[in-house]
Amino acid sequence: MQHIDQSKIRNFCIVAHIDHGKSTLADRIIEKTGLLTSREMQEQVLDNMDLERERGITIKAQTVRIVYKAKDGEEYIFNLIDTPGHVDFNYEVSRALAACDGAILVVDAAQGIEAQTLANVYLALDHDLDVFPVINKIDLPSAEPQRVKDEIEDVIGIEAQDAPMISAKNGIGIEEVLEQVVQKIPAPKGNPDAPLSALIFDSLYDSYKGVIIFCRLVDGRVKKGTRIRMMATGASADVVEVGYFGAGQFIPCDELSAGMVGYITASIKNVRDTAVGDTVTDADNPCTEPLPGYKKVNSMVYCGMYPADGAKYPDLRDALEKLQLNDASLNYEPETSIALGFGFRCGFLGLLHLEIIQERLEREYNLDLVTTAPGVIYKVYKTNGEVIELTNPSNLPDPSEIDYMEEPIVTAEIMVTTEFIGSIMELCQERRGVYLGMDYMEETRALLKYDLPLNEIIYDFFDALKSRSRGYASFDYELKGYVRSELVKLDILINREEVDALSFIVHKDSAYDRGRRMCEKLKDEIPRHLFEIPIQAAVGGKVIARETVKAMRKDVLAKCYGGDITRKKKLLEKQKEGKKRMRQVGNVEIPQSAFMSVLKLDDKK
Amino acid sequence: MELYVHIPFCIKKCNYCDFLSMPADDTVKKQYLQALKNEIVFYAESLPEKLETIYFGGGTPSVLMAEQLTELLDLIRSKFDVCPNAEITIEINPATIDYKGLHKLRKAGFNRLSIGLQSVQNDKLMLLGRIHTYEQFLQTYSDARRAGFQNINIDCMSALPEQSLEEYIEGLHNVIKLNPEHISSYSLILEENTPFYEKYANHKELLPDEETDRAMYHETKRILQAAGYYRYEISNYAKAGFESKHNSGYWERVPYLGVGLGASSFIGGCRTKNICDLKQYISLWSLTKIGLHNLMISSFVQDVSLSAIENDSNEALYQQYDEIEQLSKEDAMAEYFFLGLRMTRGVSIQQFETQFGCSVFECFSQELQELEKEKLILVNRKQERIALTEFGMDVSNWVFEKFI
Repeated sequence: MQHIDQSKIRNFCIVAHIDHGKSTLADRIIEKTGLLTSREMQEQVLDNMDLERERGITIKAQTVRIVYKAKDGEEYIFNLIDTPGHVDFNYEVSRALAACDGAILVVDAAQGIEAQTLANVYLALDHDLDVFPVINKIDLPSAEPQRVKDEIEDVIGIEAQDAPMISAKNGIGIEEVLEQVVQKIPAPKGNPDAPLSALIFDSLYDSYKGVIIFCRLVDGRVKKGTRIRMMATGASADVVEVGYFGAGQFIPCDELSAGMVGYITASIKNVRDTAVGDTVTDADNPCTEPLPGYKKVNSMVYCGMYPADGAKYPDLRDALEKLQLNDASLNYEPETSIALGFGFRCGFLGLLHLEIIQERLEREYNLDLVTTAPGVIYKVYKTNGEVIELTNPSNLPDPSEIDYMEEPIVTAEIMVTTEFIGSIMELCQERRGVYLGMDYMEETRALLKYDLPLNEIIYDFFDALKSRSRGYASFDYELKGYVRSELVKLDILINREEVDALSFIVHKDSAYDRGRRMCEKLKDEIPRHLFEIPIQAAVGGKVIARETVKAMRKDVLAKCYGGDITRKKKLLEKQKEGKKRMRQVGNVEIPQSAFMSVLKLDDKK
Repeated sequence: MELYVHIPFCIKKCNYCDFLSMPADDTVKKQYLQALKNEIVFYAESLPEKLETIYFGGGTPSVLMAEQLTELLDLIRSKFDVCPNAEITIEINPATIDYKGLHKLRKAGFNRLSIGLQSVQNDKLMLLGRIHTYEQFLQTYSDARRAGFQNINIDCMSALPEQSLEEYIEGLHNVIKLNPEHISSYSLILEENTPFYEKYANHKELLPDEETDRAMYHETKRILQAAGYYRYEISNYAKAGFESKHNSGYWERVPYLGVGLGASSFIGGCRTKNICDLKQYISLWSLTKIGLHNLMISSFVQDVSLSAIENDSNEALYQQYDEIEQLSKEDAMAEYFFLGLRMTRGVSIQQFETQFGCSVFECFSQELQELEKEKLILVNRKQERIALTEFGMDVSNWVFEKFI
């Protein structure tokens, strides 16, 4: 068996602000190392989910092993772990980082440091990674590489003067990046003869192989037949196959040893047995301590997901189960709604995560979904001393039983050019933000710090931020904790019947405004019926806003002669088909789009 | 069987019109007429059914010369077995035909006229893109009477842009004064791909609101009833005995053959629609393709049913249709209701059972109960009929949908 010298291994990742060219650089590195020819390169090799490629973002961590022949004449094995860039996927970033020994920091030569640059680089430094910067997009007319280098040194405090100046898109300067990987990223220093300890940083469910564990071996070895045990979950299994990652494929090998990044399959049927962050060890010769860093991921945003067609409930359950196999940060539990029937209350890392799961359910599993307004976890302190973690507004106890409530607060960092500071501060104010301070990064840019209630930013904060800064603001946040807040449950009544799926929790000062906008929106969404339909927003039984869908007075085709019959029938069929897909509440048919439309209440621009 | 003959020509397309019609020069018209004659001959041979009604529609059939129309009707009469008392209608537009022409048509055997008036107000006529004035209409109408037409329909429109209820009613009274046997009044429909759609689809405020539209509709019924016209279909009013037999056939699902460009047929439980491309139509039915015709005739089963069409060797048959739909029993039952209920006398409970072998109360028990409860239909068990209520007429699509 070929022995692999740890000193010739480099395990690293690339961190960057979104759109700074992380995935493109990854593509170029794979291309340059000769694993694929230029012609075979599909754009963004690592982003292999359709959704990722369409949105130009990386959702799941991806890994590829490549061989690089360096200028010193030696061949090096690079394990490149591509990490997600969005704030929702911090845990995915963190577990990917934990598998690395170093990181390349990509910074856009024109935009300089952005909010996520900082967040990601600090995360990397927290994991004791050696970070070296790369200035990308130097061929842009607006590129200011020297300014950006100075900024990196000033703001982050890492050496940047010899940073490779590259254009990942046009393949300029990639060679230099590869050389610096060899020089600046440390080789792993595990002990292959110590008991096995491997960090699980991702996993994938394959219907033939079962769970495929993505791991970084810190110490020891693993090969076919090894009996492994997950230290946190206690599950054990016999290894069927080990291997490493080709571009878009799994390449089996005889053995993985300390310092290597690769995969293990062991006919494991349940991904819950292989929690990300857990340590794999040899069941017969276990290590004494698990690797640090395991944490159970907590969902921050919840919403109800219901199949549009009630009969598809089991399909939705299966699909969620399968998605959860690959996404430990997705939570779900069954719930029932009077309006929407059987569905699931699902927990997500953030709104983008929610949207991605929703799209994957619709695309990959062909499900038609109705999603309720997303909310956060509120803490309800009852007068009897009990504390409830509320994820579904419908479960809010009667006001008389509530002592007080708390809502989650995040600390947000918003990077913005100075001309937009005013409008962004105004936005934060409207969203009940508490100003913490402002740092000038340079003359024209500032970093604003705010405490913001999470429930104010999960709706459309990001959109509002972009529109009020002409796309220039960037932002990042982390959970700070819970604070006491004056919260109320806003109910929507349609034709005097409460629609549970439309209820949500809101700060009492925003209740009127939100209620009014919801009624307006619903008025446009609910088709006219033979009778008048009042749409009311109410807090604690008191109506605070009302709109009316007028009764239908006319629904008639004036003409229907010999040549019209087929066409008119199709029209009627279409109309009927449309109604079939509606939800009945009382005697009112509510289109599914109505439940979704309230997710996007336009902010005043 | 009924026969519909489509004349897809007009002088100028009206702004609201989405019918298959276009201006054309004499050469094209001649070519079309020849093709049409070939089609008529072909069907007369392959579908030798007795004709109870004949209807020349368009477009504006009267843009053809009276001689050409006479020739067509003569051909039909010579090739088909036409009932002696058949209703033979032709649609005409004012200012496209004079007394002489009308006289010729009457002599040729046309016994019913349908005249497109639409509005008595010249500014509205202009807005609609009509090519005539109200005065020209009056001339055409009196010419028609003089030519001996004793069964005339006048087409009117309501809910026109910026039309008030009073204006509309005044127009209606003018029409009544002329004492036609039949009046159709349609509330304006914005059809896609028309200049009106472009203009008003996003400017509904320029159109009478729903309240006004319904007021016009209800007033039409009230005023015409007082004048001796009864409403027998959603938009059709007639003096007793002058209901359009041809159009009633559509709602009663009487088989009909449509000839001409884009014409629809309903034969043997199958709905077809002829091709809509004029060039293709002319070339398909041109004399030089006699060979094709022979092939078609030889392979043509008695009716235009799918069994004939599905046979691969009858590929040629496909060419003449844009659409072919063999109705299922469910389709037919749905049609029975959504067509039959358009008529004020409604549908026969007994006839349904005879036709479909099951009772309406079994097939549509829940639907009928709901509709009756919502006062949208009236079930008259004694007379064995189900009909729409007044409100049911207003929201008839809502009702029809239940049977789909």
